Amino acid sequence: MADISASFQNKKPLICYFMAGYPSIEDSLKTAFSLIEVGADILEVGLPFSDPVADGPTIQVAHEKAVKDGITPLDVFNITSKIKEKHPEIPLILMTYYNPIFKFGEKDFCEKAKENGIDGFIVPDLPPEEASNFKKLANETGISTIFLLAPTSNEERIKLVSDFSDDFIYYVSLTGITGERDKLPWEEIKSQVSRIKSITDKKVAVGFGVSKKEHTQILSEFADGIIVGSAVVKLQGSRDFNGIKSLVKQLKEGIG
Amino acid sequence: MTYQFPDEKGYFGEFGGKFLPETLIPALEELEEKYEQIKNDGDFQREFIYYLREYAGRPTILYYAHRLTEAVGGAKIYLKREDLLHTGAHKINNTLGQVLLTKKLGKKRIIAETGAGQHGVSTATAAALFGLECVVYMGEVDAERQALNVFRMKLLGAKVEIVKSGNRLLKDAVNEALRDWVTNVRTTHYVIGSALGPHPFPKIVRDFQSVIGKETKEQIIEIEGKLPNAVVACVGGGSNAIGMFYPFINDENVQLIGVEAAGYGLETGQHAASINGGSVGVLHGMKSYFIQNQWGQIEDTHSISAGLDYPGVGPEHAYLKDSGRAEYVTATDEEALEGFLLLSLTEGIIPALESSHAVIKGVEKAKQLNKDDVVVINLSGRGDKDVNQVKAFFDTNPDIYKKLLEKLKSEYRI
Repeated sequence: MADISASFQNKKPLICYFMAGYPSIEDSLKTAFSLIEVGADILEVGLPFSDPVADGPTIQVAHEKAVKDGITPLDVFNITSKIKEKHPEIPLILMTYYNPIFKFGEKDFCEKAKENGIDGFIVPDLPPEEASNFKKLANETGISTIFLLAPTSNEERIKLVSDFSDDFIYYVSLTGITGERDKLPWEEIKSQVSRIKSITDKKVAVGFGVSKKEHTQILSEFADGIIVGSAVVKLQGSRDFNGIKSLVKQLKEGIG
Repeated sequence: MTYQFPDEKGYFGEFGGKFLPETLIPALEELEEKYEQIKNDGDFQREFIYYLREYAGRPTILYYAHRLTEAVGGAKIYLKREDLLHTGAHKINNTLGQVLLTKKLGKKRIIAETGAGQHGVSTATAAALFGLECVVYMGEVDAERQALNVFRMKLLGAKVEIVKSGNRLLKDAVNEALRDWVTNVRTTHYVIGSALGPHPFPKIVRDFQSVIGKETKEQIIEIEGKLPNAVVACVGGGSNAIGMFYPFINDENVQLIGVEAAGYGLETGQHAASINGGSVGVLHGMKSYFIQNQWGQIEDTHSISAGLDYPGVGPEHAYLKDSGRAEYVTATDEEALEGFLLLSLTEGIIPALESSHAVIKGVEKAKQLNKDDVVVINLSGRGDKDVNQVKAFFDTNPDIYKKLLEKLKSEYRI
């Protein structure tokens, strides 16, 4: 658990999402290594699911293809263990929907994840009120749980999500699904992030829509960390590893 | 003991809950709170009852199907004629209720998903009636198969969004409707078409549909002076079935029989029977039974009836199954067609393919009972929408048509 928090010490981590097993197992490993090479601080590893309701077109395509190719949680764990072996210092957070975890068995899933280098979980369709058992099992295995807050979250929910989140809170920048955006609702993000920070002392990382240097520039003024997803996955899909490297370099520059 | 589900967390036993992204949770909480107030508000109830009666055509008839009863030679068979409602199916009970609810929530835009188009048409109808903006999500495959319903929705002023993701079927339309809702939640109410999804939707839809069972109960007592031995309804998501079952749940002598779509047969894996051929999982906001593989990936379904072609079932049915209060059987495509032909020939009523599943299993139940017993079949929709499809099927499968007609002659007194 310690290493995710360590990434927030004296810096604002860039958290990079990619899809495991997409467009092939090899390519997703190359994606991970490219991200790390140019300074990704934390990796968020997508585990494919047939019905990704929180995702926009880019990440939907990745889920769909990986499911069709028969990528299973066991394949994903193989991928994460290879990444961990080479880069033990980089925290790995597994992001998926609840059904693959539920069907695997929550306890078995946590144990397998731990054995294969996973440090945290983000499960967008599992709000805190449904997550008591899962959080307990994850924490007992030594894995953090990170929950999400949104522009629509009220004070009561901010407190609840903060209680359930280890290390940091994932703030969803807009009412909507994942995907690159030209502009983000900056004023709303800023006021909701400062509201969250006035209620809790948990770190707050902002994601959804982030894809450019100017985005990370603005966000790093008030967020504790920044998450990028679709912009990476789009390049991952076309095996553009140089593109991934230059994207991450620019986003890092924005953070300064 | 009286039946009191869902509990305060939105669960029916171990099923139900609220499994959706954080952005939507405050909207679900608001809906839950406002619905509890509105439900007991006299004005809302009066308005709802007014439109059900004056606009949709309630109460519907409970019809004694005497020729079908004679042909089968068992218990007396009654049909609850939801097919006579405006728009041709029970769906309007829910859409009128939810559109009135939307008005009370102060929202001006509604969205819905649709498979064959029945719920889409019904939602577009209610939206037109109350002047709300309406967007209906429909899978591309379904939109091609049901081009006429796409046009119908447009006539009614709705915008139809064709969904090209996933398998381009009902499940994918639900995914896309959820994505719209997560984006526009502040202005938009999601009119879910069946008794499923996150709490409080399964409860709201059940409450609006339970007018079916309430009327049936009063009508059968008036006609027969007693409760029926069994009530039978088809189950996709399960809204017509829960509407029929719910008012009978505490009447333990009334058998509740749900009929799932077995498609080409459970053993082929090509079916839409989540309870009989699926396992417990979490999708579309709820814990229930789903058709999925060992890794929790949701699988393709098949049914001749588009309205039953969904890989999950409402959580209350999952609970009624596990508690043993209701029984869930299946009917294949071919059995459904047998029901379709049988009711058309004996009563001059062409049932929807969905309802045909209930017809054939209701008939099977009646056969096992005595002539003083009573079986009620919920005729959830009319079959006009399916006539083209059935014709095309029999044109390409004349052997099946012939076989079914011979079976009707040999097994029933027609």
